[in-house]
Amino acid sequence: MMHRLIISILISLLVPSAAYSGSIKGKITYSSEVKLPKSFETGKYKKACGQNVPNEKLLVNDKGLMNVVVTIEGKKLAGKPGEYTLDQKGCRYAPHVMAMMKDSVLKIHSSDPINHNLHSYSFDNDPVNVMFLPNQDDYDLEFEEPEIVKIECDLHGWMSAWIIVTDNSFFDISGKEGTYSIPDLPPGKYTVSAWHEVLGSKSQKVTVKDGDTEINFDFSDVTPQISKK
Amino acid sequence: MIAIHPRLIAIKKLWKRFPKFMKFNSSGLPGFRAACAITAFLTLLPVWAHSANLPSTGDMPESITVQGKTIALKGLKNPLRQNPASLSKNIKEGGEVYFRKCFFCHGDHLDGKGLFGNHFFPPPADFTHQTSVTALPESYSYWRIMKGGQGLPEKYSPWDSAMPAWENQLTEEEVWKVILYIFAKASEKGPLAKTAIPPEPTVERGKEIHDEKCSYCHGDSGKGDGPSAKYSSPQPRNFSKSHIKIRSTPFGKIPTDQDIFDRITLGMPGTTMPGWSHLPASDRWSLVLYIKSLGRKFKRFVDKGKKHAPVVVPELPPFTLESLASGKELFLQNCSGCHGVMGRSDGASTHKIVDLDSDSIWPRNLSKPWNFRRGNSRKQLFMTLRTGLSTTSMPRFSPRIFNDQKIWDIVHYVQTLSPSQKPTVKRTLAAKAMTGEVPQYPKDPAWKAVEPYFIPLGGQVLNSEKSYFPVVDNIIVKAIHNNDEISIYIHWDDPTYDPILAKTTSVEPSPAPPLPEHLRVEESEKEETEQSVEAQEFPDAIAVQFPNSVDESGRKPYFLNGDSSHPVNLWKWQSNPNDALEMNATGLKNWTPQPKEDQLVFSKSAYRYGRYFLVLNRKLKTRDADNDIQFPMNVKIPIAFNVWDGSQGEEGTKKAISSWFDLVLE
Repeated sequence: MMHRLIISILISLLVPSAAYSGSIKGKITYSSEVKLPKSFETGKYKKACGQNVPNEKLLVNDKGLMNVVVTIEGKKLAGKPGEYTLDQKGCRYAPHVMAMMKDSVLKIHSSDPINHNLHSYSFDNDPVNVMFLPNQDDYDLEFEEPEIVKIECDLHGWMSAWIIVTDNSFFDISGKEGTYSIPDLPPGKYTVSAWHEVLGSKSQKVTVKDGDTEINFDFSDVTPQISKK
Repeated sequence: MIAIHPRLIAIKKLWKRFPKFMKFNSSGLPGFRAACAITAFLTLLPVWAHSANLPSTGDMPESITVQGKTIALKGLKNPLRQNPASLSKNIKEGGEVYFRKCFFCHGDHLDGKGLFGNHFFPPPADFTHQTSVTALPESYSYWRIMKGGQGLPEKYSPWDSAMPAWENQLTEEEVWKVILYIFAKASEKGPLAKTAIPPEPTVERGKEIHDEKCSYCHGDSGKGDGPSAKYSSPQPRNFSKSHIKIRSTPFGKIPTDQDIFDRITLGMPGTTMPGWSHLPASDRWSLVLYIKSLGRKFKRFVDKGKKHAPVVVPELPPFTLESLASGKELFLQNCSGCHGVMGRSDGASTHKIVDLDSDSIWPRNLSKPWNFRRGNSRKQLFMTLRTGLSTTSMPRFSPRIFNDQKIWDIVHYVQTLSPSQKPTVKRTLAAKAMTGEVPQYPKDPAWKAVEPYFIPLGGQVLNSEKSYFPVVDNIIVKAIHNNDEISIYIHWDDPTYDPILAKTTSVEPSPAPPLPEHLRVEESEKEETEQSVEAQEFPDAIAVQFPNSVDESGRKPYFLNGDSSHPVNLWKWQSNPNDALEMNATGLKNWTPQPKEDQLVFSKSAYRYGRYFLVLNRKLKTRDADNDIQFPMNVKIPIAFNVWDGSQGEEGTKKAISSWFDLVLE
């Protein structure tokens, strides 16, 4: 065991990790006039959750669309699974949208003083429906297959989160300005997909060479599908 | 308790009648007589014991009119039999009709034990019995299907039968097809007649059985999309997803083979999935193999070398008051958010998670354990709590959260939320006499001493618009009088109440699970955040039905709101406006409210923790004896009930209905 560890450390020191010079960058935009969804009232739970919980189903900032997951499909793309954390805090899942490569582990924590019930809607990955009591130990959830997984709390209907499980570790989530960046791509042909929870997904084919390739997505032609729940 | 088989009672009755019967039928030596008697008795027994009071070919009219066409019944043959090449196709299509129209009552197994089978009186016909309609010419079935219960001669009390007349709902060809199906399948209850059972269970054999027996609900490819699917709630399982609700493995994990086998064998009580224990075990194992072949998760499980981690139920602990008290606290904290404080599925979070269109059904009403899919024993409840129910919001309470004792505590408390046995159905409701004022409020303590009657309800699936899976499946009724007035108490469980009702009467929805003191929001602080109250689109409602007048000959109006020559008198209460209205009806759709000055029924309603409470009150006699039921003493007065759950879109003919019962004022 010790030997193996030493060898692997040596190898990692001697062999430089495969860094490629290609990258995909861009901006996701949404410029249609749209009424942004109202924040949720917590009613009976206002002392435990705060009076309002932000509605994050559609976040647009100066036409930049936030929380779009950009993924890349193509041969020879691999990567490393990781360890991620999802918190239940102020009766909100933080973060609201996550992406991770298959075989990653999601550590689920609850910082709230009240019960939560985390219910995942998935098929290829075994769904879970677990209770979190205050001060409960964290719960480790492993995702084995690429899939878009929705998470809800059955006790607090406004709480939702999305976990996008990918095939490789080349992905990004658009930030406040709607921008994303996926570095270190080996040159080649790929399909770039952009997924948003209420606007659906779009994809483009791209050939990556050395240097930056700009790929933008515009969702302005899509009507958001926001359920009342 | 000793249950006496109905056939035994019939034998006893026959035995008493026996000597008389022989006198009319034979002469000669006593020994010969006895021999004849025994032979005749044994020969006649099966027919007699079951066909007493049942119509037969002798009751069939010469001809009937269907869609303006006169059809002679005598010698009428099923035209589809003339084409043997299409027979199996026609049987299959007949099955599709059967599973859209007939299986609610007559059942998957054609044994009269469908979902509403024991909710109506007389019970639906059991076609599997050797003296069923399949022993008679097909023209008889044609007549009964086309003309329904109402087409029967008077001596068979056609007004009681919930068998619809299908003449305007099915084509002639569909009727002949469904007859083919019933005749072909009624005798084929057990293994498939066509082929022999293979020595070992096989996927192929499983597919053969699935196609024959399961596909009407689960679909040709097992995706839960068979012809019956849209008439079922919960919907049939989609096997390609590999999830089944009741397992020994934790929530979300695939079931063990034994889990699937058990579900096939035992079925899902309270749903359209019956048990299949009558299939040979080997065939049920073949089905397990086939079902597993439909979902890719089973193969992946094997490929990855995974092992099941089934939950094992520990030894039963003693039932103690401490455990019960702890269970109550745990239940309120962890279960009442969905199940409500009394377990009647009206939790503070419930309406957010229920959506019947997407098969998100109501959390189980814990006061009706006969609908528990797995069962109501302590061990079964423990298993459900530890494993959760896949594809639903019912989570798994793993040891990470609660040790075994805490689970048992919850189990003990849940068992106190319901009667230990399903109440028996009594057909006669006694209203005893009392002195003084009759109780007018549901909360009146006088009701405690009055006998409750359990009235089962079924969906109105006779005529369009229909209600295929009503939420309200029974009501509890009490009645009392003081020789001047009668009061009728009713309660029924409806997990949603009409919000507007809070303005006019006492409404107590289940509160959210208790929060620590510093997080609680006081009533006074709450109001500012609550939105204005809006009424439901359709009100919740209930109607008590009587004939306009009691016919001493026993002739009643048709149980489904009367008919043109026999009107009914209805006392209909609804949530908005919160009031009872006296009406008269001559059929499902012909309802007329009485004029304002004749409205003499008073109502008091309340809603508490998922249950509506109602008292209706009227003088025994009124001046309008033509349109108002007058209550005589010691006479059987027909009484029936209709219930609407407005939040589920029930209005008009979409409702839950009961058969006629008898009310007797003592």
